[in-house]
Amino acid sequence: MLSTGLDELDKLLKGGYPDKSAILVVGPPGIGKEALGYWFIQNGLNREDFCLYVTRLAVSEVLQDIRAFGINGQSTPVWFARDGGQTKVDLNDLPGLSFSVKETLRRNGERPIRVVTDVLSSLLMLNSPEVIYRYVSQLLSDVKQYNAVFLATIEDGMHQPQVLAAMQQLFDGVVELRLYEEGVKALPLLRIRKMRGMPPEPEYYNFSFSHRKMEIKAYVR
Amino acid sequence: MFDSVSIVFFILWVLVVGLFSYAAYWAFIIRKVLVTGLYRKQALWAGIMGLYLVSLSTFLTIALSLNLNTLPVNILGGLLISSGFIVLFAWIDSTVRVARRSDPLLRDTLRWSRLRYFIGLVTLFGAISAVLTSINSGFALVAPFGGALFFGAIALLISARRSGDTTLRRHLKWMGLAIAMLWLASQLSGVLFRIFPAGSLASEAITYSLVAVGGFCLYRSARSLVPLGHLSLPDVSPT
Repeated sequence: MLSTGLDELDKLLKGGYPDKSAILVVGPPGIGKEALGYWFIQNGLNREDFCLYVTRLAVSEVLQDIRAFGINGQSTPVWFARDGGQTKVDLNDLPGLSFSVKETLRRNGERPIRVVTDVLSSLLMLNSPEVIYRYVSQLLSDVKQYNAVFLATIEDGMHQPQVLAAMQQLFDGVVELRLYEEGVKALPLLRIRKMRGMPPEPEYYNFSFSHRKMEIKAYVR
Repeated sequence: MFDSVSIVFFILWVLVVGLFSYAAYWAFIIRKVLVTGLYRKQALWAGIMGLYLVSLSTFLTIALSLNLNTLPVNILGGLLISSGFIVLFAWIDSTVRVARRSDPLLRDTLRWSRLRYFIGLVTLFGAISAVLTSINSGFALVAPFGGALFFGAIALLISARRSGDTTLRRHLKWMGLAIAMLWLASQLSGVLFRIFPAGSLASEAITYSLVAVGGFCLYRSARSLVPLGHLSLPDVSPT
């Protein structure tokens, strides 16, 4: 198991994300999906794991977000980014992106690896879903040859429900963050839709982010 | 003490203010649960827009129905109307930046990252001149929104087209409808004034109805800031 970097989420997942797994975090923009990636990477950096962050944004934009969560960001991962990273991300060059990721992992395969990416939604908007299903499926099987955990975020509200459902099938674990309406309140709820090695978890949990941590409580109606 | 027309006005005003307040409430509720600065800012300005419209509609209802036209009223009216320029610009700016984030190619529409400073400055000058116009000629003669915001609206529409975010598009559609309804109400009130006698029930009812529709659109736009799900009973853990 690899720690998520968040104690309460580790407890919920009975230790963290499974080894050699691919995790998908689904949620609307702004709810905090990326924060799960930031903490996961930060935890990896503290343990001297090899950490790769593949983003469609510029490094400066991601670092700004990271600091807003109280993560110091002093030690940084290897960046594949639109701007400011070790490798430039071109979302129109799928084979190039995949090749760069595989080459980087091959060169650092002796250490535990953590990969976080936010490019899935953009790829789905620029290509047909079938192309991306095949692409992601191939990429995940390549990544799993290493001692790696791959965490991807995907936007809710930008894709057809069937596209999201099909994408979830490709991953070993799906963490869902959503806003629900209850009376005149909006509740941020978390659900582990599936996780390899865990029985199905139908329960919802209230979550909130405070400085440097995520609080999770069982949701009781 | 009050005639039936005043009572109808009062009921319509309560309805309008209630809708604007409820829209602001939802925008702030959603802002509270969002964690990313960019999206929190958009929700904040959508909420402030609701509060702004509450104060503006209250002021206009009181000032126009009592026919107030003193200097302090004109200063207050000028300040209120001109602050609308700033609020609208801030909402457009925050929404264009959200739209850029959801564009898969992250395009900087009309070079907004630079243009925003220029439009912001022009909007500020527009707001100051609105206050001066209000002091000199009365608040009723101040144009509701600055022309510079027209360019902001264009940037917003292009950004929304480039963005693949259906939630953002829904929010924009409702906000656009709200602004259109409020603009229509402001234009129509002048036309109705010539058709119906001053303070007639028919003209006020038509104007207020449009404003109420605008209030409803604003409420829908606030709720469209993020997709809101509904929990079904079997999904949730037992009490």
